[in-house]
Amino acid sequence: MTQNIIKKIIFCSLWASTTYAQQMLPLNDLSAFRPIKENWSIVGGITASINQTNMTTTEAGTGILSCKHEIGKYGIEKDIVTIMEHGDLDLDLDFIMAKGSNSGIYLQGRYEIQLNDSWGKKNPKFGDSGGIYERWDESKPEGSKGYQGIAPRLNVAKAPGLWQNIKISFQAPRFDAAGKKISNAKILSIILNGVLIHENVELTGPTRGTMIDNEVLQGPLRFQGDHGNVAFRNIKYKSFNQKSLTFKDLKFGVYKGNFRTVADIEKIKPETSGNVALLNWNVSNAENEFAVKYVGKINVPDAGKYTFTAVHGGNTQLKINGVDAFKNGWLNSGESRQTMIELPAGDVDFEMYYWKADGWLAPALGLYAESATIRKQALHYANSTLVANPTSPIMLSPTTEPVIFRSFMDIREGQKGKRVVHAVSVGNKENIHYTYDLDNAALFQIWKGGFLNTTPMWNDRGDGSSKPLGSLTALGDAPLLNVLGSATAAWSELDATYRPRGYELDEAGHPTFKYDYAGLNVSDKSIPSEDGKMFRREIVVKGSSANLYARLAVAQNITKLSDGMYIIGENSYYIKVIEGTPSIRESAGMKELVLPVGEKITYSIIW
Amino acid sequence: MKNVIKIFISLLTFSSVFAQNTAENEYYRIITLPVPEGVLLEVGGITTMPSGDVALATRRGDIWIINNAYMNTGTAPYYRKFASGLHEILGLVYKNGSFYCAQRGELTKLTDKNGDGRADSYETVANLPISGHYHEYTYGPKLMPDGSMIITGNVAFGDEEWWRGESRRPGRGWAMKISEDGKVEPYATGMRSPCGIGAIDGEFWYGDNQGDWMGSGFIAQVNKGDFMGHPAGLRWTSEPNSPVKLTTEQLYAKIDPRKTRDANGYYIKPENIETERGKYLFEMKKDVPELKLPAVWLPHGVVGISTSEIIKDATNGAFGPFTGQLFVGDQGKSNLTRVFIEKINGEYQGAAFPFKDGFQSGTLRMVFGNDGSMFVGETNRGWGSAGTTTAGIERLVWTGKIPFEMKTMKATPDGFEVEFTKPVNKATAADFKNYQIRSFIYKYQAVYGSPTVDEKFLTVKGLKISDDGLKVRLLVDGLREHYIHELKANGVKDVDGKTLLHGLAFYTLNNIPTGEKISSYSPRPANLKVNTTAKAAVKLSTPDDVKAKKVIAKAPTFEEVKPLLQKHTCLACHQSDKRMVGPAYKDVAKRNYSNEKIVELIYKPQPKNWPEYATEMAPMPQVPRADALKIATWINSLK
Repeated sequence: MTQNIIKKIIFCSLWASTTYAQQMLPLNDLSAFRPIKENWSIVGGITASINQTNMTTTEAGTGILSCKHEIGKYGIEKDIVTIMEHGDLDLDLDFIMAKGSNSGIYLQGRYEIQLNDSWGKKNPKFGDSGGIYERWDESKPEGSKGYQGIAPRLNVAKAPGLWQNIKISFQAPRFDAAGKKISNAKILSIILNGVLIHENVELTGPTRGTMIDNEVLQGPLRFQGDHGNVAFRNIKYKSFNQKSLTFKDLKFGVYKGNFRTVADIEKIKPETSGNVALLNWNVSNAENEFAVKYVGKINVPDAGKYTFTAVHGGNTQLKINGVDAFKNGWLNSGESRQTMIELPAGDVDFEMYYWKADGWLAPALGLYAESATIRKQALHYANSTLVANPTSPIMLSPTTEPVIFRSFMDIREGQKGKRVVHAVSVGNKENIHYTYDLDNAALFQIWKGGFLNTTPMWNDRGDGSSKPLGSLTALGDAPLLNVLGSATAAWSELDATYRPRGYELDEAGHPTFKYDYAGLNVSDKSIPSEDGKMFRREIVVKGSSANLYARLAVAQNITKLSDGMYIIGENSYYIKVIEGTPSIRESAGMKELVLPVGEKITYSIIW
Repeated sequence: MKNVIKIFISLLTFSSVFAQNTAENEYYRIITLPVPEGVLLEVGGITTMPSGDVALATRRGDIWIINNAYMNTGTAPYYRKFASGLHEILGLVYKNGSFYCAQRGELTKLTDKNGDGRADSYETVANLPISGHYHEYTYGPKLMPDGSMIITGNVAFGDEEWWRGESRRPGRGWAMKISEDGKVEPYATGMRSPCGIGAIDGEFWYGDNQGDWMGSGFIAQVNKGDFMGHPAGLRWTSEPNSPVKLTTEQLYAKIDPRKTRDANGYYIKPENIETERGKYLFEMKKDVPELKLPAVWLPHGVVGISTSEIIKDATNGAFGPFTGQLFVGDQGKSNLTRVFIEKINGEYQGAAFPFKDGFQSGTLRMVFGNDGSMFVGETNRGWGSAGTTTAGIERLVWTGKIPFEMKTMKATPDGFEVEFTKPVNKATAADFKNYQIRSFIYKYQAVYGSPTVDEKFLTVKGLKISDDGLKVRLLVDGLREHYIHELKANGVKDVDGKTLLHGLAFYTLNNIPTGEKISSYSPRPANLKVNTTAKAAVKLSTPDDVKAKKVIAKAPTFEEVKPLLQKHTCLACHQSDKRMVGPAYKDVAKRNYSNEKIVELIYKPQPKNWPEYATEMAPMPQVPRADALKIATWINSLK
């Protein structure tokens, strides 16, 4: 079971390649862009109002590309266009929306991924953040001019003024020698705020508002600047050429028997042999106790470093250009191993053995290649790695009432993983959810989007854990309350006086967590706002204790915006204190938002 | 409308009949409760309520109250979801208006305070330490007379030593006693997979199943301070509140934990060593006084494979003639075993009898309903079971007919006394050929499971039938204390000429009682040999036996091999073409093993070859080679 889960995790992460560094679009000045209008500038800091439309405040400095533009005046000349031009591209950037603002990222200047202040929107459309914007046909009657807009799977948009992250994998259209398009541009994937919102979407042509109404091999990145204030930072990209490695004269031989090494295989003659275009274990026509040997040439388009990733159930051994790329090694189906080798341009020798002697193991063989300029490509037929039918997922969704669900919950604390074993997740119809740790009386994570994937717990024996299905914001798994010796004393774990008492549901089904601590009876309740934009958390304390404090947040940065309103971390979320008088203190190099607790405190977590 | 529902219900009942042992059905019928579509009842706990309703807790974390579960007027039951979102519940009781259930890491009290029929208070009675390993299930609670509750904690498994149960937090591998106000007191340890729990006459009972250090499933009564044999929980015995003082080191000084490494420094999974006699659990007792022996062994594969709930028939006859006896569920075998217990020298012991097969899914939890019928809560997700349905609830109803059964089997100073439910046909009861007694035991070892070992066939030297024909006392030569004594009495008939519904019993003879010896009995005819069929088979199976090879030259048919598969308990976990606890024989055939290899794998299974299966196969060296080869040949004929 555990093995299965590991398998799947490895499988999912196969495409996430970190071998080659991304390039960063410099934002020290505007030299990376074509000459622009005055609405774009480089700044060092930015905040936005969550209440006032199109209200942003910037600080001088570098690193942030900011657009200030009044809503209502439109024009393509307000957009900013990179000097860099791209074909196939992986793009990763952060953006901030002003309230009511709208922007977009035009790939090759032509295909728009929409950015929008979609905060709290229940059913996102193609015009909401992460949507693939619609195409436009003027010749069609009114009302049907727009077509093929694709809404994101979920709305995971955050509040104005908070940094959001988008990762786009784009494949440019392909053309034949005559310039005729032979395959559409494609969104391979878009991940918004950590959530996959599109995968493998073909773009049949430029979307509405394209720079030029044609399709090309290379085009610039373009950021829309005529629909309100927006800002970008950390614009990282990896540009690929469209070259690929190809086999030449790839021959295979199939051997039958129980082999341990290549020497065992070479002792006998192949039963069958032939030519193939790509690797495929299926040529063996057997499930077990076989070996396949591939010999041929592989054409390397450019000299340089290449990373090869092998997936196989059983053993492989691989030589490329006479170099041992992979020594004899065994993997479980779905596991992978990786190597990087230097290759010259042109045809080089390729020799690969795959053999399998474990009856229980599903046969699988795959080999991927990539380089700084070549996007990860498969050197095998797709069916050669599809080893088993994937598990049908078991999802849990909130209904009209909150769904309260206990499971183990895996989180990260710095570089380390941690399993919270007394976790209670609460899912709300407002599409914002949280998890509470009964061991620490801590509200340690909030997210928006779907509620929980319970497959890890409910499939087969399960491992007792579930996973959030949305854009996660970690709040830290530390107790909210502490009795401090002094106002400057360090925050600590709960002592032996702590005792969880469970939770009670109100008429609407919202839980109030109860616990005893330092002789006090504490109630802790978090309720989503109707618009799904924030949680309001209320702590009620019965009994009295001097020096009882609540720590609402701990982060590198905490900035007071206005009375009771604070922005936490690098514009990560807001806290608004409704009842209580907080202050920012420094402890162990971190900022802490702390307030003394009497009978009651109330605050909102807004994001 | 009513008629339609009636027909619907009777159809349901009827459809489940096909899978059942029809002979058993004449006396006990299984009624499958209709369940609304979309409601998944993976039952982990079951209890009755004063209202007459039946409540279920599920592994999915819900608590359901079933109204009209008896369907007496033909109308369907009504399911009300009382609570949800709990962490894999594996036990449920109702007390003073609240439910109590064990979640993985908590004993929880659930109360409906506002009267809308749904829980609004989910109170933590006790927060239980847990590491988060998948195998750390928590079972219970069971109510004790002093108002406290007992829960049990399953062990985790090692990382490298994935076969070795370990206790990563206090309470894992333990029974814990929890007061109403949440005080947690360690109660007893040595448990591995303590899913079998019971509160019988105010005492706590527990059952485990085969695994590391556990040769076979069993049930035992557990007192505070008892050590049940699995070492994992001993890790915490130096804690000041531990009622068990035995340490891991003390135990390992007396028995080798088999923690050996290979040349590369990797741990080697311990396997049964056929040529080594090993130690038996009872032999440890003189060195380890805290050790508590099973009251009744439930021989693995024959009686059960994964012990679950233990309940007592307190129906005063409403459930048939077995009032006062115990019923034990078995998740994997999807059956019920009946257990008669008696106290000899202050310790429980007794006999296990097959009772009822053919439940649709793993029988995990049982409770007697108000009318004396038995509700059986079922699940098999991830564990596999003979019943092929994922989950559900069934009701076992006595038809009012008395089956001809061995009602009790009691130990006497010189043998056993069997009481029948009906007067016997005296001619068949007086025939010595109708009684075969064999004794055997299991090894106590770090290995997963144990073969049956030290087998001995005993001679019934005399017998005496009571005047009323209800009892037969047997004078048996060669009784061995602590051994399991198997009695086969298939040939005995009742006055109507009916044979026993189940002619098999396993008596765990922890103590031979003192008392009056048998007198004026019929002696065994001098020329009557003791039937030792199994021994003969062993003889046959020498590798160079020519006859044996001849037998296997042609692949046998299923009909030919079926008696062997039954005899050696293979069918407890395998079917020809369907996945059960273990893989289908067809899937084994697909591995292209040679016949010899399959025989080898019967003797030394390689669970790592089947990572998709939750339950390990135990080594079966007791299967004679000729039999194993015949089975292997048949398996390979399925390709």
